[in-house]
Amino acid sequence: MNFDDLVEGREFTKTFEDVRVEDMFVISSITRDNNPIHYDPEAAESLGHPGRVNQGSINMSYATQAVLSALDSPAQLERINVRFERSVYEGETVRATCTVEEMSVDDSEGRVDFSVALHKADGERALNGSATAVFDEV
Amino acid sequence: MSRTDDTDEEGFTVERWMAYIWAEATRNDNDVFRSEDAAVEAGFDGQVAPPTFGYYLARAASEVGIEAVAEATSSEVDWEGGIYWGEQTLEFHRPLVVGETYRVTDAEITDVEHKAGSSGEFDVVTQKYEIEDDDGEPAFDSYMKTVVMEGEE
Repeated sequence: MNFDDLVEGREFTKTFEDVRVEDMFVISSITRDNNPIHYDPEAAESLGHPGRVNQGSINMSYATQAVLSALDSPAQLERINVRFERSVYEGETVRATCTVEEMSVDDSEGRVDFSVALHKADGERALNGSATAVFDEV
Repeated sequence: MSRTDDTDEEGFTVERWMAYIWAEATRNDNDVFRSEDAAVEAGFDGQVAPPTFGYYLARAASEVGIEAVAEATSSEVDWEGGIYWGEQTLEFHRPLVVGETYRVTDAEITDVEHKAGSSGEFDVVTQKYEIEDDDGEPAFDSYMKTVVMEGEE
């Protein structure tokens, strides 16, 4: 998107169907995350989860991708903030959204503030947050 | 997680596979994270790492990992007792790129706040990380809040 294509209130969405345990295994391996709720269904169940729990880093990435879909380039992302609210489980379908909240131009540099969220199928939010992007020479 | 094999005093070098596989596992379909050609075409000097990889890089390349966080609450890492990622902020001074060597110049626990909620008492540990690139230029800052539930007495 160009700066001029954005307008306050415009929403961008990315849907991630059927959250995959294979992705959790990969992230556990890269980050050496030894928390069993990401790989062992029995451990997840014994802690009260209906299935294995998607890593926060994957949920954060889903939300970030909604923001990147609103930009020309990932280089424009200046800041991303997420507050984790609910777990996302294997097999779930989640929807990441970002909404343009505020736009400003200062000395030909455009700044866009977004709110971000990751919505679970049951209507709850897995995370809430915000992001800022900078557009040069607008 | 404390300093891992990915890093040492020389810093953490982001390798091509890390960016590629992180993009795959997070279902990021932008090829600037997979191929140098795609990244150059998009105006970068080389392949780019997904922004969210930054949180891991910061933690892995510093001494302030999950053990240090648990220690700050006078406990050990106990997944069954409950350790949760509460909040994460990444502030970028420049994009995270493949082939670059990053160093954590400052990593510290800036706050431990004791709270009581419906599910019991817990501590919120705030961590801050400042990361530079190989030229000593600020690359990004990471702020993390970790929730550590208090065990049964």
